[in-house]
Amino acid sequence: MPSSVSSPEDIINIALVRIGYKQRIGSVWEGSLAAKLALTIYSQTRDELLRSFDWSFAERNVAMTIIKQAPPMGYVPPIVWSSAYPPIPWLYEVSYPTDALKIRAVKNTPIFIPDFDPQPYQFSIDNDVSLSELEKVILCNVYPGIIVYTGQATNPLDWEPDFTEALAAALGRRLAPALMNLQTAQAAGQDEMAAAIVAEQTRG
Amino acid sequence: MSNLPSAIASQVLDAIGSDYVLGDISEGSREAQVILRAYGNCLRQLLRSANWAFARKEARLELLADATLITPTNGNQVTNVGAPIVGNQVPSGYLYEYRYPDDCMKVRFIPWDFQVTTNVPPGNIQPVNSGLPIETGLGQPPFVGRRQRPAPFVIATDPNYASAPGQLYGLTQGESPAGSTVILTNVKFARCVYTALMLYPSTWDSLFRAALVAYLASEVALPLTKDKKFGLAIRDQQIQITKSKIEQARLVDGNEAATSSDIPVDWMRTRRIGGSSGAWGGYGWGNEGLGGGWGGGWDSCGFADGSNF
Repeated sequence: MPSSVSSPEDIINIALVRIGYKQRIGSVWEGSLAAKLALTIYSQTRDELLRSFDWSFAERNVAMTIIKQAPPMGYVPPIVWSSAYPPIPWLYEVSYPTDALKIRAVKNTPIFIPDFDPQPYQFSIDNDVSLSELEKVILCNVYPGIIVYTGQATNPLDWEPDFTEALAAALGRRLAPALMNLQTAQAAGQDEMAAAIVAEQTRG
Repeated sequence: MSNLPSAIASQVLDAIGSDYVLGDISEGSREAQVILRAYGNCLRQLLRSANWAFARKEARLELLADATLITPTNGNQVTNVGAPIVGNQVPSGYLYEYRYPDDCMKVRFIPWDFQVTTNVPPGNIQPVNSGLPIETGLGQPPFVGRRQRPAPFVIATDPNYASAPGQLYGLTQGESPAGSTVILTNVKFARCVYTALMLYPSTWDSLFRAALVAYLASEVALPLTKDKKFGLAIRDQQIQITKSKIEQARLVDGNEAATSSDIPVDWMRTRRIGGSSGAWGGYGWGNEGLGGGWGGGWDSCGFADGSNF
């Protein structure tokens, strides 16, 4: 079902209506008080909400790209651990997807599908200081494999209505103290909680 | 397709009253992660909890060691070029050591017979001279159509068959760098009747499927419900359902097939203490003991509330 909300301005205007603000914005770049405040908090609020729940529309799968691998026979002398290898006890260090907001799972690539013996695979997020640039990486014991993650879905046309609703409520809660008054802010907080409950139940 | 692990997981969510619509058990959502962590172990434990008819499998065992020295062995005086090589070190009290089958969840029994068959798989016992009989007077054919008699056996671990360093030993049941799980028995050319790992829901009977759903639900109810009191109540209900299903399965096993003699009887327990090669009985009726047991029976199934059934 296509979303009836197609731009960040639409979302922000919904948020403004929810807190009882009298004016609308035409563009997030127009320079009005509401637009400036909304522009400040919009991306962070969206990303935080995307991370909060496992939204189906934001699920992305990507094949692993390996960075480091533990020695096949283990750290048997004279081989000793160094930063050329993944942190102990992990076997593989793979790239963190650039558009990932949250890693949901890592899984192997089954030879046959469907997989009738699915297994959970542990993973951990790390910051590797030994690379040329400080880089967020994923540590795991499965390779080759697939990374399942929450992507940074920025296009409102991709969102489900309940996500849009939850985002508008969250924006409203953040805008209310600056644009309205304390009572409105409290009401907006309750509005956000109610929207979050609905969102959690469906998750797209 | 309803015969997928994901379909089982969806039924589990229904059982605990969750509104979440699961796509795939490996999708990485919170619900999927929790169920996936429990799925494999619950499946295996439930298979061990009764002699499920659909999971009965009989297979020839792979010989690892032969203490009789009849089979060409590694480091023994008998050497045949091209002949299979096995070890000759078998823990005391037994003649043969076999590899625990990869897909074995529970050994039910090892048939005791001397049937010399053809088509012995590679790596198993081979006569030194195939033209000469190893033993005579075996009968022709000896045991076709006759009642199967269980032989004593013991499950053990043998460090002589450890995995190579660096091998992903965690993926194969019974293998580790510290040794491999083995079956010790005095049966030559041993076959094993066991409960196999049945991964395909299409092969399960409806009772097993219902039991697995309830068992999984009892395991995941607490982590997946926000109201922990509600979760506890659901968990207790699902445990009762699971126990009921397992009980039915054990009754059906008794009604439809050969009974499992799992009830210890004192006067039978004390008979033939110490066991003997090829004799009936042994030290105990279970699958442990000095002389080995002759039937695996079934396991108790443990539950999240600490109870067993």
